[in-house]
Amino acid sequence: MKYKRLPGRRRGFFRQASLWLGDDHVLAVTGWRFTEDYKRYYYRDIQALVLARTPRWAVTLPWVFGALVLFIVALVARAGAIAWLPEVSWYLVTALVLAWLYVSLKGSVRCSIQTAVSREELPSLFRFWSSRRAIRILGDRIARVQGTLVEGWTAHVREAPVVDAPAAAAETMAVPASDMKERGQTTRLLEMAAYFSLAMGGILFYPTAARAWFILVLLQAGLAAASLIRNERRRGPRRIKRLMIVTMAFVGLTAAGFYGRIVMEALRAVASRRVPVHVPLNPILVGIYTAGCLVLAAVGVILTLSKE
Amino acid sequence: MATAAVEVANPIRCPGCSAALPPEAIEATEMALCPACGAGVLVRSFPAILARPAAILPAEIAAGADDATCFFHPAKTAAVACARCGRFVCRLCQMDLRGETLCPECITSGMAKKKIVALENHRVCYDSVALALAVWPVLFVWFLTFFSAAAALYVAIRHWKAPLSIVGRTKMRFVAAILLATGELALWGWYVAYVISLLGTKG
Repeated sequence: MKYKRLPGRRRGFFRQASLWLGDDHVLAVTGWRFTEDYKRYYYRDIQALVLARTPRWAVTLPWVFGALVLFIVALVARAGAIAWLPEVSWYLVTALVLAWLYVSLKGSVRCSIQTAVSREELPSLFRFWSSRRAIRILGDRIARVQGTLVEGWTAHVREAPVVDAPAAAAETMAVPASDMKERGQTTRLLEMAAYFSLAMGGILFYPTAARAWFILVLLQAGLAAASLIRNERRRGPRRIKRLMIVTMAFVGLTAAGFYGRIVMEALRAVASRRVPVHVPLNPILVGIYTAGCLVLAAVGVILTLSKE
Repeated sequence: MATAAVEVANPIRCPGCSAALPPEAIEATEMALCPACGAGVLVRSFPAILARPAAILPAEIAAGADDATCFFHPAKTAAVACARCGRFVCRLCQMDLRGETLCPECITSGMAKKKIVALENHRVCYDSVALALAVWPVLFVWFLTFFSAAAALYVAIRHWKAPLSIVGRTKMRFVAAILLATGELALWGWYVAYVISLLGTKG
């Protein structure tokens, strides 16, 4: 059976949770890092989905990694040549912590799913925006199976007809297929920044471009964090995602090529107990990197601007 | 149109404080307030809340020797045949699972042998184990990578055919673990060879 992930996902240090839409049921996946436990709630059995705003102090991995990366950048930058970078990094760390406090206090919820025999909390739904979207998508799917309750059903529960047939409901409550594919502005900006920085990557080795490139990297990190928070990762056409994967692989491989020689020299120096000598960048690899960056950036810009 | 003639037996409760929510909160299309804890609540309710529990029909006692009887209850009349093993079962024993009627034995063995995916409720993700063994020691305890890389390779190869996550994962983690672990072992090999050659020249 094919499953489609619903918005909202909890990724802690050890525990994780997510919700998946199946053909006739919603699958709640919880588990430790290396195991998964499943619970199935069949659409025909679900009585209610309830969301309540309440503070949640969940420390999830994206926040931790975001803060950690900025913290390391701040520490490393202290010894670097760019004078303003440590200060900016500390500001960003503070902003991230404040954002987490705000989201934990004001943007958090508890969600529960109720059937005739159980009422259980959904651990993956703990932030307001993603939970509301998940409940909307899941609610529409359930309405297609069960139909909907008419307005004022609680007052007329004893004597009046209170249920609309599922077929009629399916027409009004159907989830537009394009809804999940729609790309948000954040994702679009992130992609554009990625391609532009690739283009800049080609001239990275010229000192005048380094600062601009660095600003772009910071911008990308911020946009990526915003994208993660808005949970837009699953949006967007597949070809763009593939290009992003190719881009990451290319940058990773070339980076391994650049730093591999430096690491090898360091290992040789450790083995022979001497100070490592400066290793210049391989000009052939620099050429490959520059050309690859420009080609990928061009393809990315064409794909982004072309009609889907 | 269906007619509801029952009261709601299972009240909708606030996930924050577990208090039963009033009709105004249940029917509100936007956020309403929980009267007990004051938290904003959003409820989406469905017709299943009005459904009455289905009545369980008692199994009938077999009338004569010619009647087909239940495999598990020889005195009861068979109602259906199990879709998997073909055994006749009575109304008490019949279990419906995603459109199939199964007998209790097939359900039990299906759960135990993990042959019925719809009943599976636990899996070990060996691909994540292999990848963690390949990656984590590099980040935290690099001197252990010789052992952890070997362990990652073992886990990846030994469990290559094991079922992955139920929600459809590819074998990418296994592939990544194998590549990383092989790379780590190759680096160790190169380092050991280098140190040996260095000792040889000094000797």
